[in-house]
Amino acid sequence: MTDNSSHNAARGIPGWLGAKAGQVRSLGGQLASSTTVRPESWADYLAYTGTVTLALLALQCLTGLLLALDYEPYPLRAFASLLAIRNDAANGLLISNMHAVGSKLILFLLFVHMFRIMLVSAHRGPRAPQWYAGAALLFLMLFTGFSGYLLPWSQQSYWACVVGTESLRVFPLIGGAVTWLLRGGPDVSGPTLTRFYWLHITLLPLSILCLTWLHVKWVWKTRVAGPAGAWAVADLEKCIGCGKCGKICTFEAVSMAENPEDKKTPVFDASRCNACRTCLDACPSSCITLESPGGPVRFEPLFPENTARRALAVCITLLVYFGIAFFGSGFHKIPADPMLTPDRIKPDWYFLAPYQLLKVLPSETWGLLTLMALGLVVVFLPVLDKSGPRGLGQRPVYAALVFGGIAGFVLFTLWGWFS
Amino acid sequence: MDNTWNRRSFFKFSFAVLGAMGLGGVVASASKFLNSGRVSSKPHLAVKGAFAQDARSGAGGGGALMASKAPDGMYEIELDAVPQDSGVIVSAGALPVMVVRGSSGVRVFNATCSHLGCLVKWDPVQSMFVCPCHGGKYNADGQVVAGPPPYALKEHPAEEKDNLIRIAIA
Repeated sequence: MTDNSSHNAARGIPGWLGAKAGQVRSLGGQLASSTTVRPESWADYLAYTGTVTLALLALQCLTGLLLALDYEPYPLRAFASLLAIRNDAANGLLISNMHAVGSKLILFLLFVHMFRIMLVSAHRGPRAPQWYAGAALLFLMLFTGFSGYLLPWSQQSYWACVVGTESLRVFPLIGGAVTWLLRGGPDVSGPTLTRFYWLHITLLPLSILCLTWLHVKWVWKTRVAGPAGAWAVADLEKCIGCGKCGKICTFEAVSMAENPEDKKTPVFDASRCNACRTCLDACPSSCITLESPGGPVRFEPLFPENTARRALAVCITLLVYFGIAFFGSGFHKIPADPMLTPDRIKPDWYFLAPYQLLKVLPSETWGLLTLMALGLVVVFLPVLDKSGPRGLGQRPVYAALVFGGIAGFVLFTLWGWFS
Repeated sequence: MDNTWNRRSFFKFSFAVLGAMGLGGVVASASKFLNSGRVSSKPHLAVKGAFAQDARSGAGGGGALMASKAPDGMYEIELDAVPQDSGVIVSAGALPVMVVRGSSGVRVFNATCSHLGCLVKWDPVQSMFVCPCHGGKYNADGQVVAGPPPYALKEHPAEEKDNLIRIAIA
């Protein structure tokens, strides 16, 4: 196409569609010509948790849309309508189980996803916005899970909602108002169910959709982080001293140094370098390579090799997902009774750790303060951990905190499960 | 373009066929789900209990006893509804209260745990109110003895009269 094609371009909707089609084609071209890090260790495979979560989110939308057609969000009808979907409608049991299992699995994958980002320190520098969007997404998904948990209107869901909304009262000043707003009254009753249903099918999924779009867009811009401890190095023999690598680096990891041969050569700051490979692509003399403690980092095309790996990861996850959805229902069997609290009342698995923590800490206020402090540390990790080496071996304190945090979460979840 | 098969065209074809089959499967399952019958609208298949809940929104009694309201504003239930040495949850209007019949007569407490709003149970062996959610315990006077509850269970004045338990809700 020549320059004057833009003058001849159609206006209005056809023009807009044409422009969009052009953008999609160019994006397709970029995808087809991109390369990415070839996974070498188990930790590198964790980079695919984002793709897998995206696939499961799409399935949640599909199963959720199907369930929403027949579910009736009223206290006297909710449990019965869900039983009708499960027992009478063709494939209803599978669709209902898929939706329930999907929510639990997505949160598991998100936790692993976050763990992987911490392992490779991909929350730093220009990737910080992605981390904040991810933290917001995690909160929204927890809230979506919490609101969806009430919808069966079973004993478990009813009392988990009573305890969950009541615990918000601990927040000074606004706590009581938030509890009232969520419940639509003083108690968990009909208005709570319709409010939670509305949140679950409109506001929360739409927010998740928008934020996911931003999150993925930013990931595309800054690229998937290389393995922990990898950094760029230049072969100074081949370097022509053009300085392109320093200008293009979004992590400010490259500085140009004068050297005896009167040639400016790049100096890479291993603590800032995130092994994104932008400088490798920009280098006209191909003198930059990625090194890691395990040797040079290898690459593979995004399509088809990397796409195939990701597709395989999705397929393996789906196998687990359908395995659980086929055999393990976990559906609550007793409809809600606001006048009888059951003996074993627990939240869904992803709230078990905070639930158990609140149970063992002496006072509600201290428990909530501890939880908030932990949450803030995680959310503001990009502020707390800005620079220094990325490899876990070079910073034992960070590694101990990350692994200690994970161990604590697993321990409290198991404790809550078996208590 | 020649018409001979090579590895690339074979895989392209295979993935296209597999993809179409997968998509067709999803569409077929979803249509079957949408077009199949729902019998929930037939009352005889209603879930036992699912239609008789939500006492708090006034739509039914659930499993709890409903106290009737006397002209003087007191709530009344039959004395026989609460066996000797037991505690029973009674719905006084929208408020769940625990009626305990011990050796010293009838006492009535607010049944909602002061911790996070679960309903307590009466344990006749320990003579204690026990919350099933986070293990809070109150003695027979409603005072906190163990667990996370911040304050005591509120007691409501009650009396035995003419084989009725009469409860005053302030």
